[in-house]
Order: sequence, then structure tokens, then C-alpha cells
Amino acid sequence: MASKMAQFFQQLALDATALRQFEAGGAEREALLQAAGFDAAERALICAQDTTALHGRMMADLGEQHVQWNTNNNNTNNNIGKFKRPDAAALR
Amino acid sequence: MTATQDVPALSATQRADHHRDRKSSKGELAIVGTGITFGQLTLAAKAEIEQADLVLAAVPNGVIADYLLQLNPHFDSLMPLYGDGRTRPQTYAAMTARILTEIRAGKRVCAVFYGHPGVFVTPSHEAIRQARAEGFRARMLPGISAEDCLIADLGLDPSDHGWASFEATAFLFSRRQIDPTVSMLLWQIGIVGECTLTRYEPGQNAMQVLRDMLLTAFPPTHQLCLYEASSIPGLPARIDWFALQQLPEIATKPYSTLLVPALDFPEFADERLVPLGLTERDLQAFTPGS
Repeated sequence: MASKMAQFFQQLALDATALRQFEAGGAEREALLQAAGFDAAERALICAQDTTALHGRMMADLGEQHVQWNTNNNNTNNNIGKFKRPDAAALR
Repeated sequence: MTATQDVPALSATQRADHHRDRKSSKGELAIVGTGITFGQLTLAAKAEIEQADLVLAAVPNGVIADYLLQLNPHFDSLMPLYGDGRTRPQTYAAMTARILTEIRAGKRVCAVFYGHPGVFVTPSHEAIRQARAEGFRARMLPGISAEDCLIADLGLDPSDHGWASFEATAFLFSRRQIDPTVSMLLWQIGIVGECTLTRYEPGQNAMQVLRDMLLTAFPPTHQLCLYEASSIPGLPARIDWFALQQLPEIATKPYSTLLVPALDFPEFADERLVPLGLTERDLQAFTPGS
């Protein structure tokens, strides 16, 4: 499985000219996305810049569920640190 | 023809099979980080991924996940372990157990985590501890964390004022002196004080209490920054500056980070120069522009 969208962004990161064209937005970005072969729905998704939706789409392309921190209800507020407790000695 | 051209190009599968054929009979573990966006994976981390018998990855980033599959098709995701109603400690224990099971089976395992594999990642540290305790070779390679991205995006240098880094809820619950001459990062501000373990937003009144805590050391107009690193090439980071008094109204995400810049420089401790035979004048060479 592969994601065309993911590979577009990989190439974008390594091509300074294309990156500037993408970051310019507007017609320049549109032309870049059309040249990459994205259809209208894909171009709209990319231009919306919703990272959650974009990662979800790319993970789906890879056949994986996009599990993210705000879609499962098992948060335990990770790594909240350790505290001195008056009863620390008794707990050892 | 150069030496490079003599070597035929290998597919990712061929590379992985080549390295697997040469594996030692005893398992080993490398823990690496992908960075926050594509392009931040180090060369050493890339090599570990390519040469592993099995890549186990907890990477919620589509651009990077696709790349990992290109590097080594012997790949399995740890992300589903977040599901099925497990608590975070149960998920982390399951991730650690999966990693250790594969090492015990004699595999060279590369466990890949998002960002820096040692920053706010429980199973990476635990897997290394357990693997070493059982006599396996295990090491962690550093990666690029959200903090590194923040320093670059905001143009900050921790050496200017000093730098303290806290998990936001731990900071809120700690009795500690706030030093306004030190810049602070509060990680996971979007779930600060959230102790029902079910919601992805700050706990009730947590932002107000945090604001009041910071007001003991900073003025209400002190400018703070809510930061979210870019996770997709070409898309911008979130960099929102606002006054401390507005903190309770700021919209956050679970992965937001709060920067509290230092207010001022510390006073000079002249008394410590005397035993060193120095005066403040002797240190002027260290001051930019002097």
C-alpha cells in the first residue's frame, strides 16, 4: 500500500522550488497540485490545510486507521510527573 | 564506471532481506524517532530502519508512515494498541510487550516513535530497560522533538535566559517557585488538569488556575505563545501570541505547547565572582556588542 498524497508531500519537502510554489498558495499551488495529478476533491482537501483530515486520508491510503489522541477515549494525561508524598516511605 | 555504479540498486525488500540474512542469532533493539514532519529523520535512524528484521512503529503521521513502508516492508504499526478501550498505561505495556516478544524471538527490532523517541514516550524507555535487563543490546537514537521545532520556528535560544520544560499538568500540581527570568515550556497544555481520563481539553478551571499561578510571577500583559509544529511539509506551524490574562480563552489541541518567555534577565551574583578573583567588568567580553 502507498499513498500518492504522502509521497507528494515527501517530494515537496525535498524540492525547495516546489515548496515555495506550494507555500505561495493561490494559482501557484493549484498549478502544482494539478501537475501532480490530484483531482478537484483532493486539491480541496490539501488546500483546506486540515492536518487531521490530511493524516486521516494518508493513513487510510496505507490501509491503516488514523488513530490519534483525540479519537480514542483512553487518555490518562501521560507523564504528569512524580511528586513527593508524605506517605512515600510507607509505599516503598 | 564508478564504484557506486557497480552496486546494483536494491529495492527496500531486497535491502531488508539482505540485512535479515546477516542477522545475529540474538535479538537486539534500536529505538529511533521520526521527527515531527517528514525530512527530520536522521541518517542513522534511517539506516536502523532499513536494516531491521522488523520495524514496529507508533507514528500518527501519514507522510512519514508511507516513507517508513518504503524503507522497510517488514513493518507493523503499534498504533492499534491505543484502541479497544485500554488506558494509556495498558497501551504502553502492550507496546513494550510486543517489542520484547520480537527481540526474544531473535529479531533485530527497530521501534519507531514520532518526534524524539525519548521525549514523552513511555514504552521506548521501558523497552530499552527491559531488553538490557534480559541481556539484549538496546539503544536509543535522538530525534527531533516539538521543542526543537519551536526553537527554530520562534527564533529562540535556550542559552539566552535558561530554559525549563514541564508537563503542564505536572506543573499545575507542583508546589514550586516560578522564576520569571527563565523561559518555560508547558507541554500538553491542551489537556492540562484533565483528570477524568476521558476528555481532550483542559480540565475544569485548569486554565484559570494556571493563569493565576503564572500571574504570581508575570504581569497580565506578558506575551505567551501557543505553538503547534507543522506535521506536513508546506503547511505552517501554529504560532499564536497572546497576553497571559487571555490564557483561559485560548483554543488548544492535545498536542499544543505553551511557551512562557522569560520576563527579564537575572540579577548578577557579584558575591560569587569574588572567590574567583573576577569582577563584573572582567565579564564584559561575554556580552554581545561590548
